[in-house]
Amino acid sequence: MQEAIKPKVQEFPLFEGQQTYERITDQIARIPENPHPPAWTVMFGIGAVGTLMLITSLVWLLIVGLGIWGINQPVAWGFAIINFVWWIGIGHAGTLISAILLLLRQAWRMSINRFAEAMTIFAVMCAGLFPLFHTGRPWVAYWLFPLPNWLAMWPQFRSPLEWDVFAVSTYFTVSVLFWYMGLIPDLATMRDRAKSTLAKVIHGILSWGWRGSAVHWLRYEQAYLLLAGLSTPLVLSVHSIVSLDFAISIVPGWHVTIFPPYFVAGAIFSGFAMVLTLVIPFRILYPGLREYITMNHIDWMAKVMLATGWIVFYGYLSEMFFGWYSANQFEQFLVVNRFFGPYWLAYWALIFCNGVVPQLLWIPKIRHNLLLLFIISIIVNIGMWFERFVIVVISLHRDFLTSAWGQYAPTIWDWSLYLGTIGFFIMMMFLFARFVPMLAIAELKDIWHRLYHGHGGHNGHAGKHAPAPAPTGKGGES
Amino acid sequence: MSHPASNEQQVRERIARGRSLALVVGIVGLAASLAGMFGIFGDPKLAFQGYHFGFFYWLLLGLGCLGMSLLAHATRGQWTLPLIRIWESGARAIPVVMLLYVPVLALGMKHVYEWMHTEHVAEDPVLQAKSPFFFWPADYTGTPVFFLVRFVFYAAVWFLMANFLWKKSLQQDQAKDPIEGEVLSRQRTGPASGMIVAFMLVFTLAMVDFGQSLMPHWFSTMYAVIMVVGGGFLALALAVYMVLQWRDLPPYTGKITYMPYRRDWGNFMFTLTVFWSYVSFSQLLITYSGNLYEFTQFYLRRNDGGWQYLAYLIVIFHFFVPFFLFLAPRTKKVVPQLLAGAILVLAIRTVDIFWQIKPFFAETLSISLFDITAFVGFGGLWFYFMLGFLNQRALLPQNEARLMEVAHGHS
Repeated sequence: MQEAIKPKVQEFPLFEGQQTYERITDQIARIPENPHPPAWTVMFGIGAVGTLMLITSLVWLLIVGLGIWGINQPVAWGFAIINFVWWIGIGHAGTLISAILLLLRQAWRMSINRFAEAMTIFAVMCAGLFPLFHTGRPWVAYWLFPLPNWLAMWPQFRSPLEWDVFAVSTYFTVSVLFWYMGLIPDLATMRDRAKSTLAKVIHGILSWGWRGSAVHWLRYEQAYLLLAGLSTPLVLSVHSIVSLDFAISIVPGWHVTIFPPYFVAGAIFSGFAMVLTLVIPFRILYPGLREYITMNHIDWMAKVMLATGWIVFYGYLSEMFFGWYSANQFEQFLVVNRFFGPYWLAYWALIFCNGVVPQLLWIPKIRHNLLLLFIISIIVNIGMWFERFVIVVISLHRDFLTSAWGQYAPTIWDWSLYLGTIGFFIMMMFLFARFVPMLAIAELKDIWHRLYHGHGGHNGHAGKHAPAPAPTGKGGES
Repeated sequence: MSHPASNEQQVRERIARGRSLALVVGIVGLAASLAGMFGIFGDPKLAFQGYHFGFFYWLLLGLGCLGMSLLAHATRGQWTLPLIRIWESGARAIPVVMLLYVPVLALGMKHVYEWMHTEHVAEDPVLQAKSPFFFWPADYTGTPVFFLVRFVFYAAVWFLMANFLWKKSLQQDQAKDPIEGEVLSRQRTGPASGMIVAFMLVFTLAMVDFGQSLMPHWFSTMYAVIMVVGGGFLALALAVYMVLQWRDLPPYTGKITYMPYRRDWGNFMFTLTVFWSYVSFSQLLITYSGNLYEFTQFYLRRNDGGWQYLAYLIVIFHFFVPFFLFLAPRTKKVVPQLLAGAILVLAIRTVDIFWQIKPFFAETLSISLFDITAFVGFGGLWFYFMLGFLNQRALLPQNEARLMEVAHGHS
């Protein structure tokens, strides 16, 4: 009974090649079934080495203490918080794609949602490590939860750091649920295709006895929509609360009212950059994916990056202008210190990476050049890291009193922990590619059916997204 | 070509009638305001301040129309098609609002802008530091050259943008067939996206000039964001209201106001309700937590002297009520309910803008006669021109393949 306005996707094909239901299933399901390509082993190896480095860094941190990091007064936050914010931000693309793009009926999300959701989960894992260990006593981290206890210790609810605990843990829980629930029909597909008994049993257990009956699908769709509704506020709230870690204070450069939406946009910006960083090589590694993650998908992701990149850049311009307009000596000094202070390089790197380079995405040819896009996505990832460096370090190292000024330099352990999380992230992404269907098979088949297959003449399924023949129009970007 | 003009006669007559009424109301309102500026009805200060409120409100609505048109052209959202001609016409009426502000620029800057008071600035290092933003290249005792230059610049930029969209849409209306129309429509997305960037940058400066500088010690980086969301919300509510009012008359009958469109409009109003609340609450929370007078003075003024009652109204009717109203699927199914929602938004947006602007001038809750005369004066003339522009062209985009599919698709 709900007619939908026809999504615009027919103008831009979502699939390449001649598709059938069997082909969609086969192309995606055979990736985890077949032996892995040699490049997989190399990348997994790199990730595993990184993970070992991560473990080493953490063990040494626990043995010696926080002194092995470069943090000290006045810059007590350093790498730990920079990396925390960076990783949390990266996770946002997954949530945006799974929740908001679903509610916006953007059919192109179906090709990348599984992938981006996996990315979200691993990114949040990496993010969570940093504040956990930054507390110095991770073994009593449960004190952050309001558990009744005989010490009558209670968390400080007025602190945004405490809000973070709830925001991030909710975020992680919902992301995992969303990802896993979406996987259930596909795990059942894997079960049905499995040749070995062990694989059948494992997939059988994980797919909860899914038989694909109409009742199953009804429940599934309802739960999916509910989870999408739950996740939507999370896209805004998680990074808004992270931004409040800074904005609640009165430190110049932190006490900025635009921080919440500016952080959220930055998170989506960096998240989409990371999706591109991963999708482009994965398409090379697994050529079958190219039929589903088409150049149109890449183009849309690049456009989302351009749009969110401008919101971020608007934030920088706004900070510059209002720094001057405030006529407040500390705010004005902050702008000057960013431009010409000891960390000027970080600031200008940020402007270059996030402000200048993304402008290339205005050009359709560049949005269709995979190599350039890959390079741009890496540059944006670096730029977004510098953004957090600028926010954390530049604001802290010289605030109000010159007597309290200081310098910050990361140690080798800061770097090894950071690079270690990147290794862990790579390892997890490749494990994911190895064991789980990387794209949502059921959803792709569904969207393929609706858009290209399901209509007879003009009336087809009046019930759902009634498809229509491709318009006669031509021209424009495609 | 798909909507013969004869069918539209009734709507066009209504528009023409609305125009005549708007012109009369507008002239009466403006005449009263202008008379007030010369002290005929008491303190001219109140007349200028009320006039500024009227200016700000209708400028924001015009800019909301411009912003929504840009968004519609850039994203090519289906749901914007029935509304887009209304927004384009509204955007094209911005220069009228700008022109009507000349009396303040010529006669009453001192009554509106604190930074025009040389004696205050002389004692105040902060205002002195900010004065180049308004007076450059003169000093604060001179003419606010830079401010006036910007004023002309804004008017020019907004006019050029609105005119560009207007021309491009007209080209599509006059295209030879829907295929050419589709090509033209796609060609607009690039320039429209670029213009969104320019629009937001210019808008931010304008909001410093016409909003934040009224309390010159105060500033907020979020202000322009709150305002742009609010302006867009106002424009959306107005367009939805107009289209739904005319839902029984061609060309707005049938598929043009059918359920999928209404669902999208309702959902977008829901989104804007939430987003507006999100940015407004963020500004409040950050300001409250910092607790520095430089920032809190904005809220201290608005949370005292009776203004707090408007704030309560805004919290209830700008967040809680529309949140549940637009969330409910029923609102989008039942036309009068969506219409009521649009009216609610128009009303509470008006209260909100009043609460934003008037406390800059008054410590206690008050509405002067001139707040009303300027509001209806600016509004009358804005509507007069906007409806005139609307009547000049087809009421719906012509040669629009997507609209034709909707109109001639399954019944």
